[in-house]
Amino acid sequence: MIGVFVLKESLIIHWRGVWLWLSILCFLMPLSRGQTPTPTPTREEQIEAARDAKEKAVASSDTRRFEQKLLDLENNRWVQLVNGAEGFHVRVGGMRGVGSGFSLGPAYQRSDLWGERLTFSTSARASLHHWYQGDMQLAMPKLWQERASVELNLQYSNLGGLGYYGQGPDSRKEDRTSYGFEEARVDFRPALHVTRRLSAGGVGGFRAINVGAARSGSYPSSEQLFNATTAPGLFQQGDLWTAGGFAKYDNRDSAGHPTSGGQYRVQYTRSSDGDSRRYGFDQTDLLVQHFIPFFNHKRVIALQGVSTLTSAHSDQVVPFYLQPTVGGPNYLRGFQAYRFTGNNIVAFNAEYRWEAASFLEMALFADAGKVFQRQSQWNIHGMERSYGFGFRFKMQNTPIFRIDTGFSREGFQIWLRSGSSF
Amino acid sequence: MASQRLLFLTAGAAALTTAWLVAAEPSLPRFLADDPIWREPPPRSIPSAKKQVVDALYDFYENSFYATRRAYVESAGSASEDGVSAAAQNVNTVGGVPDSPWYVNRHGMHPMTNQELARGPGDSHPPTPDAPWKVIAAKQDGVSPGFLVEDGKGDRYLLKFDPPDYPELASAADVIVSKILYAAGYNTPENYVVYFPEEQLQIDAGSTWKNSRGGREKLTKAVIERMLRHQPKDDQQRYRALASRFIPGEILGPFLYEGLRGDDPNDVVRHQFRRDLRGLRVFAAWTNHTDAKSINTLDSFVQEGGRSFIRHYLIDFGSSLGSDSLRPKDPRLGHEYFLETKPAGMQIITLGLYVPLWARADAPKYTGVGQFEAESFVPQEWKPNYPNPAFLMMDQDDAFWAAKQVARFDDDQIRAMVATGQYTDPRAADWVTKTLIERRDKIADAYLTLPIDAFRVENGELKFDSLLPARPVRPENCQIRWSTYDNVARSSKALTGSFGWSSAEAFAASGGAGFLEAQIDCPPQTPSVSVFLRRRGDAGEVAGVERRW
Repeated sequence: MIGVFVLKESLIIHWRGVWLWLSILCFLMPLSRGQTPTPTPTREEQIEAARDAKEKAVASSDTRRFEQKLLDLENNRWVQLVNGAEGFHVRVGGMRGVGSGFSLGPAYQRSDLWGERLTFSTSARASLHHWYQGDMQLAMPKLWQERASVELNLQYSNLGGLGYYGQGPDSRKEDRTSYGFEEARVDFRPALHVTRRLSAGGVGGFRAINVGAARSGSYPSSEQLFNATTAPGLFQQGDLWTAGGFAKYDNRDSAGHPTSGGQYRVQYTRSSDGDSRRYGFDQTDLLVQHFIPFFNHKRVIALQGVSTLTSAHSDQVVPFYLQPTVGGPNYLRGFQAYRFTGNNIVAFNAEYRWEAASFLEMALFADAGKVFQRQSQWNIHGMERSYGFGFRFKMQNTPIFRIDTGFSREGFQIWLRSGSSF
Repeated sequence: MASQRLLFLTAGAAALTTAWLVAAEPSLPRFLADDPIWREPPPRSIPSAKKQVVDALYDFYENSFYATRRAYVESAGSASEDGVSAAAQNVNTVGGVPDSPWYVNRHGMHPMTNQELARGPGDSHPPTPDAPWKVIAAKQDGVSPGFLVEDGKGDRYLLKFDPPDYPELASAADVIVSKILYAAGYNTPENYVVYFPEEQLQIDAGSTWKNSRGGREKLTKAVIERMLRHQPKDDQQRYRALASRFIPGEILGPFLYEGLRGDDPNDVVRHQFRRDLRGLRVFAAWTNHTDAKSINTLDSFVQEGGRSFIRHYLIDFGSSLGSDSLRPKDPRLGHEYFLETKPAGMQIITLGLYVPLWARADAPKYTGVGQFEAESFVPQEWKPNYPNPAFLMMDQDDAFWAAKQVARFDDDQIRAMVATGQYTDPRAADWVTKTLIERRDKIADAYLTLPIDAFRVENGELKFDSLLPARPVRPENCQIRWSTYDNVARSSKALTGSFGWSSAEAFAASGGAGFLEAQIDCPPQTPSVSVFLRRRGDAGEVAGVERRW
């Protein structure tokens, strides 16, 4: 019986539950059809409610991830030293010669002296291969209503191991040697700017040079393989006085990254080592560059021809360390740096450049060049050739550094250099 | 057994009722009593606001490497990239943007006269020439100097000069685009092209200039002469410059195109969800304003009508039209981001033999024009210099909203605004005008695929405006289907009968429905539009518009 009672009680409870739910349902049905007992907010009230919620959670504006750290970094004195161009800063790279390895050092520059008429810059750098260089430049680029300029350059360089393979086009790759080169020089360069494009001027200077055993690199030192005949000036150097002049026409659209126009320059200098009369010579440098743009300057055919012709004074020679060379990052890029040395050179570069992105320019290039002992051999016969491709990384439309890979009969070379090829 | 059946019955009834109530509950009605609103409530007054710094390098890095549409949708807690949750949020029910400290409906709502368009944010406060301008500070940006000056009235201006080799280039662009964007509804500074002799500049005691090492030095007459020595003069020996009047209020720094200002209770919509900022992409594309980034914006803490609040400005349009501020625009700009791997890869692989249209399009070498053309312009593919979060979020509704405003500028109006750039060569003004017209038309073709808007009820009938005179859409070319609309359940039920465009007849046949939906299709255009009418009088009034793409 007890069990039956309980059962009946539960039945009653459940029936009550059903009625309860049905009652709630009947009550709520009209509400769910929109007859809300409380007033519907307006759109403006919704906006105000959102403002209420925001006001309760109000906080100072967040600086984005890492942004504050970057701001701090940019304002850091030491970072400004590395980034700056004016005042004290750190100069990276730009050492003379090929093979120094990574270099850096302190630098100081002022472009605002004497009412911005005088600029002064100086730097000292050391490289991983223990090469050293110090420079100082005083320049007045805007004299006489910018129709004249004058520059004074002082430089000391101590280059631990420059390459030398012997004289002429038949030198052997296997004969690679190195020599140490130390020089202190002063150059003075006044110029008249006849027009904005055309300028001419003089050059004069003094060079004190010392050549010795290489201090870096794994190649034999030059004196182990060459002598005073095959490397004139190897054992005895002299001080040189230089004087000459130049003329230049430059209608390139940009000096740092030209895409149209051209540059045409000729320079003549006469060098003399005074009373010793061993190393006096005349030198003529010719440079022709021309840039042919197409497709809105996004494609450029860049052409360059260079020639350096030297002529030793009677009974004198051009020392090997001042002879022009081909091979390296600028001419004949498929050959090692300084691969060919001679009294004269002629070299040509042709590049097809195309801008792949704002930050990247590509290039296909072909180089040709040769060295020759007599100026009568100035022709295009017997030229060495190389070809290759390059990546030029740009910032603000100016190449910052390039990676050029050149191929030749002697294999391939990869060059990492700052700036443009030409 | 019976008790078990009853138990299940009770539990089932409870579950069913609860589910029904939950399903029906969410809903606020879709259209509220004051919809559509055209003005946000007045901004809430705040006692102060903090200055904000945006690092240019960081902004470039963050947006170039991390800004994606997906990331912004997900950061807002949205489930789907293409879902409703990706839609703009500061939008009224007819797709418009209510007036606020960010944006004010101007030419798009009430056509401005040519004089008003040329006036822009103001043309009555140029620096007065009758008294010297005191140079408060100076800086040299490359070969282009910049001065902060104060005129005889005490108003302050930034004087910015054109690159010496490209006179009129940046100053004209800056002025013209400030007028266009102002007419479009944005807050912009008052910009003027000014001509003045060197004697107009007078050094203020204590004036300084920022030297090339970043240091401050006392400003002297010699320094000013040096800064101006490369600037060309006109035949009256006057320099030309852009004078940008200081924005009123306390300058707080730039705003971001993403997220919220934490200290502003009025800033309740994440910026990448603001239609005015998303749609700015279309205006920027039109004017080739490739430098549309945070650095070129400004928040100002202003006091007006007894309230203090933050107003948001767009500034610095020197990199628009054919100008890139310091030089003519690179033709690549507007077509690719600075860092973009896909087109770069294509160029590398094809050895540059694939030549994009922008590399083949040309612009004339008229003074002040730079690289500005319409031939290579494809509105949907236009890009700023690097990704802009709000631009990434632009959808078809945002684009339609902006494009219909672009289309509102007729040829004469565009010419009137271009005239404010004061090109000395009339061919330059003609070219810029022609290019803006052509780019406008391309924008209309791209985004106004069903070019009808301004729905309203007149004389018992639903009416609309055809947005493009060149491609008119007439009611007789469209089909309209009427439904009753449940404003809470957000569902429609088709009405039987043919009512044409008569909303009065449709309401009469609706059995007392509070809302009607009129679905309009105008073949061959594939998009359709639904217009929602609220019962008011016999024929109702427009409560909302929804476009389906």
